[in-house]
Amino acid sequence: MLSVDSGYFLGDERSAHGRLRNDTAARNELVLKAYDRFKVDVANLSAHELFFVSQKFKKAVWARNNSAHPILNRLVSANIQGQSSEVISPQPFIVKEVPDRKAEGSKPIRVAFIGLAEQLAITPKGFKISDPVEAAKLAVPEARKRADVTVLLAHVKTEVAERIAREVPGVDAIIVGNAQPDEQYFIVPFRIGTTLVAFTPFETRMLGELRFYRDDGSRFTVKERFISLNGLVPDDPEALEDVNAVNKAESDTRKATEASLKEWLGSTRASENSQERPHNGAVSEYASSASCAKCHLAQYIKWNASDHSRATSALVSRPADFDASCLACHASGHKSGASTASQWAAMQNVHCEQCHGPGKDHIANPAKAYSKIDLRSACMDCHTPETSSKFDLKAYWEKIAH
Amino acid sequence: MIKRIKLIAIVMLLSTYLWPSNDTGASSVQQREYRRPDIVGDLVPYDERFAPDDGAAFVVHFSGDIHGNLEPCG
Repeated sequence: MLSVDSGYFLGDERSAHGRLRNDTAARNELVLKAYDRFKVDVANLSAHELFFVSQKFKKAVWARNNSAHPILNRLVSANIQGQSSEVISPQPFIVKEVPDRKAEGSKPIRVAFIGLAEQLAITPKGFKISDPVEAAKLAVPEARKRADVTVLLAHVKTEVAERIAREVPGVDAIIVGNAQPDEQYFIVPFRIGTTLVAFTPFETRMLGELRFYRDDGSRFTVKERFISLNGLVPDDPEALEDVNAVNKAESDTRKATEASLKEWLGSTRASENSQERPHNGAVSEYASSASCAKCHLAQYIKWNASDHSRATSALVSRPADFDASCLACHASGHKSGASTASQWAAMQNVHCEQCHGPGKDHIANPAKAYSKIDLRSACMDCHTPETSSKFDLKAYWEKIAH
Repeated sequence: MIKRIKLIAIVMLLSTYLWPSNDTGASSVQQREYRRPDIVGDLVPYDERFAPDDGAAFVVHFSGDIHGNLEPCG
């Protein structure tokens, strides 16, 4: 018996700017371990997995990662390719050998599993997802040379799977993951010619089964079954351990993430009206916008009415997304690489000094020249296509012109 | 539980009434051919759900779309 996965078996919950959340990453680590422990023979790499796995496909860390997670060697995709020499591309297919239960002593049956992913609007950097139908046309003939049976694991929409069945000869079965616009509990399987198109039931609430029967010669026919996984199926104690470990890792990471945000908030000024709270020590050259207001009141009023003066509130409203790197653009005076939360950034929100630079020297000696800035780079360090897709320098500047 | 009952009802309805067997179609473009899916339902005892010896040379089990969630769904 072989066990395969049609894809989207890892979580891909991401922050507002597309970074995989820490709690999701912690959970995924343990799901990979579970897929090794229960020996999933082949898993399809869908676009969703790629947000997590792309980091592990970097050549510099590949050897370490695939020894920690052998399942990485059993991921397939014929249409996901690395775009640089620094990343590994997944293998297009894997051929597994299984004994023929009805012909003891005969040669094992070779089964090729080819992976295909749907094309999403956003693909992790460094990878490209090409057209799955065209990729199947290239991969299937190669797989057939090495196998007796060819099965596609395709996380694609129904119409794409149907096109493959019509246009690509030599496919015995296509196992289709649920990439439909409206996820359905169960999609009735169908055949196009001799190709079976079967769909993974919603969230694997039923286990899919393909049963292959040898014809009189070397050909195989296939039948599909779907097995309900309700409460009558007893819990496996080892699997329960994995479930509990995954849930704990996710919960612990979320708590730690939220605690680190809380700690940073507690060590910095909440607002301009709480000046009794000192700056944290590491970045004390920052003076705050309230200090600027003593001479530049009009500019201060404009700033105070802008979204910059409330930039940290976005972090508070999504605490599970938090990462110290967020402070580079949602706070002022961020110090990358700082080891403790109190050293990460001087002040909550985006103050005058975030663009103009630390102002303590200028305040001590106002006659001393102070920062003239390059508007484009000052804004676009944070307003990138990933973080601020609607950003328009002219329109945005008009909102805060001072 | 309600979702599961709904699921079973939908599947039974589809498999019984909507999908005639051996519907090969007559046009030059190959039509979808539907057969009644073999569904091992909630009421079948656990021991009878898996691996009947019916002459299959080999079997492939498939899963997917768990989205990083290993929680049992029963």
